[in-house]
Amino acid sequence: MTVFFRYYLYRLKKSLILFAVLSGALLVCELANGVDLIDSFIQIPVIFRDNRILSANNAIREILKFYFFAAAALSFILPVAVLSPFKKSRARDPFYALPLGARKKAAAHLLAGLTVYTALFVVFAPYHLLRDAGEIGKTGAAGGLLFAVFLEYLCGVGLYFINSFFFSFASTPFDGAVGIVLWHAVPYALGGFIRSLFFLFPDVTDGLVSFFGNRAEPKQFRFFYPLTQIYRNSAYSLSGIDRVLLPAPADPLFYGLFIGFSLAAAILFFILLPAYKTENNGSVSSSFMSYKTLIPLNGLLFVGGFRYGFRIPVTLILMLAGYVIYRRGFRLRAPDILWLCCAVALSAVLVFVLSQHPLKTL
Amino acid sequence: MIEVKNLTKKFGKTEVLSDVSLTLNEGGVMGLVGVNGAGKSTLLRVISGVYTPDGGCVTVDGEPRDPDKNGNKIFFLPDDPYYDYSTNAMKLFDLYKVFYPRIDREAYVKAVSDAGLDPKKPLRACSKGMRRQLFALLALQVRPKYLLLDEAFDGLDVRARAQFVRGLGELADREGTAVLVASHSLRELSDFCDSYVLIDGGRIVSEGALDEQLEKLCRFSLAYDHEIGRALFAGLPVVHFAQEGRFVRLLLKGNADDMEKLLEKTLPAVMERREVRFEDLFIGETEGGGIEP
Repeated sequence: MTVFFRYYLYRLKKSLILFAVLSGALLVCELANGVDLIDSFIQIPVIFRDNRILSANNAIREILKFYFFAAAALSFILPVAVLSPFKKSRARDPFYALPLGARKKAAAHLLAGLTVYTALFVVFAPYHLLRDAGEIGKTGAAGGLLFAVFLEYLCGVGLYFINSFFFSFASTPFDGAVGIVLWHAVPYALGGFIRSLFFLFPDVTDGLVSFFGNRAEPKQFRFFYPLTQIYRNSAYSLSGIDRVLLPAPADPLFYGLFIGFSLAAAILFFILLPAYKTENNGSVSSSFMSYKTLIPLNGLLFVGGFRYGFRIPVTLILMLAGYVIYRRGFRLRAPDILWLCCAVALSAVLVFVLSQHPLKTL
Repeated sequence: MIEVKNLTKKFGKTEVLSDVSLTLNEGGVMGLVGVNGAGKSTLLRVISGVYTPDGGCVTVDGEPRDPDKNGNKIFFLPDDPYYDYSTNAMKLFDLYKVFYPRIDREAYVKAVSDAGLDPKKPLRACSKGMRRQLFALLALQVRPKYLLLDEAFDGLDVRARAQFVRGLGELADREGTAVLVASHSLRELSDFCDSYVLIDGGRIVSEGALDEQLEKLCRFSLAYDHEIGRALFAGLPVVHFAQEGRFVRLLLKGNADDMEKLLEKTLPAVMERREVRFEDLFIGETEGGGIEP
């Protein structure tokens, strides 16, 4: 047995507690309808029929929603949990001195996390089967449901690698978790920003509008997009609703981007890993792929995506908070203040431009 | 043999290690000494693979240091070893058994128990000294070819220190284990080190066989019945000078008999030759502008 495999088994054994905690948390969410509470938070589309929330074949929808929630939540929690030892300052010496290359070590950690993720998907199957077997049997959609859940599982795997990649640029586990959130905000903000450009400069962006069409929606510019689409489309199709009534079908462009991002994230994670300087553990996360870029990028994109006017002051406040977290105090540096000033200036320009605009959105 | 060649390590723009080279031979016990911030721990971290060097290289038995190929020949016991919330002696064993298959469960449990430690007691519930003792035992039980210790005696009581030093000696004799130990406890180092490396400002300022280096120095305590000043010793190769009134302590470079004859010419009321300790060598190198090898 190789050292890698022995270490993987060791990590797996250590992950048993994590597995127990997460399965308990998922069960509580399921029993307390906590899964429904996140509908609006991660914008799970509500399934309508005849202007009413879909109630027919509710079991199918609930199962799909549960695994959607599991994939989304676990793909965030697990990378943070399994990769934390790489970022802890106190654990650095004994951890990095263990005689296994950084890539193999990370692979063992990620594989253990993926095993926990897979096990959590599998362990809830009997529960759902026992609870909803009758209802699913009536629809004859068991095969389709299984396939849809498998697709949700795969989306979660993709997100797991994307989030692991984002996590890798931080110097502390906390910064890594925040970095994941900030990275997820970027494409979302970009969608809003593009939408706003179309609104402000319709003549200039005419060609782009026709290219993007209804793609230029913040919701679609999310890493979660394939997951939400799989959930929505599966819930519709498995509930026997006429496809004609469906909203716009899933866009292959975003699926392609997601698969590309996932693969690139997994590959780049391992390529860049040895370049990480372990002496940075515990210090300010000063990577260009972390706060330094993400705060101004998100700030300017969200301000620029002015369609929701209230976001401008909220974004400025969040930018300031972001810099305080980044610098671990109120001693901001000149570039931080400069970017804040840029965001304020952009806000002022936008308010002025919009005041002159015939539709006056703000 | 571990060879460190022209090693350089920077933290940002600060060069913490500059062109460091040393050789750790099998079965040798080398003391790594230096003032706080000299670069001792950084050097150990680079050798053990915790840090990646910015220049130079580390070879283990002639091969470049590679955690996958020759990493398990080295065991690094850091200054403040981390442990998880639920870690106990047996969980430590489970982890290190993955990488160091030579560690024997029975011998480990016996050593832990003999030291009066409970193998299943969480480390968080142990005193700092007990934790240090446990990690010291682990280092011995792993039986690596090369053992790197950072401030290994910190927190150990007199008995535990003695046991650890004895264990290191036995390991060197039985397994041919080479030990590189960084410590501020020069007395302990001088008891069991056969060579030393003195590092200051990220550079090696002195190294070699400890006995040979100590023989190059001599120490005297003198008392005078008249007022004196440092100028009185201007012609002597003084490495370290300390004066309290008419009493003088001198560390000199050179043969003790020759120096004694020279000192007699300063007409001391009392002159006493003292044993040269590792501390004297250390002070001479870090304060006295260096001692020529």
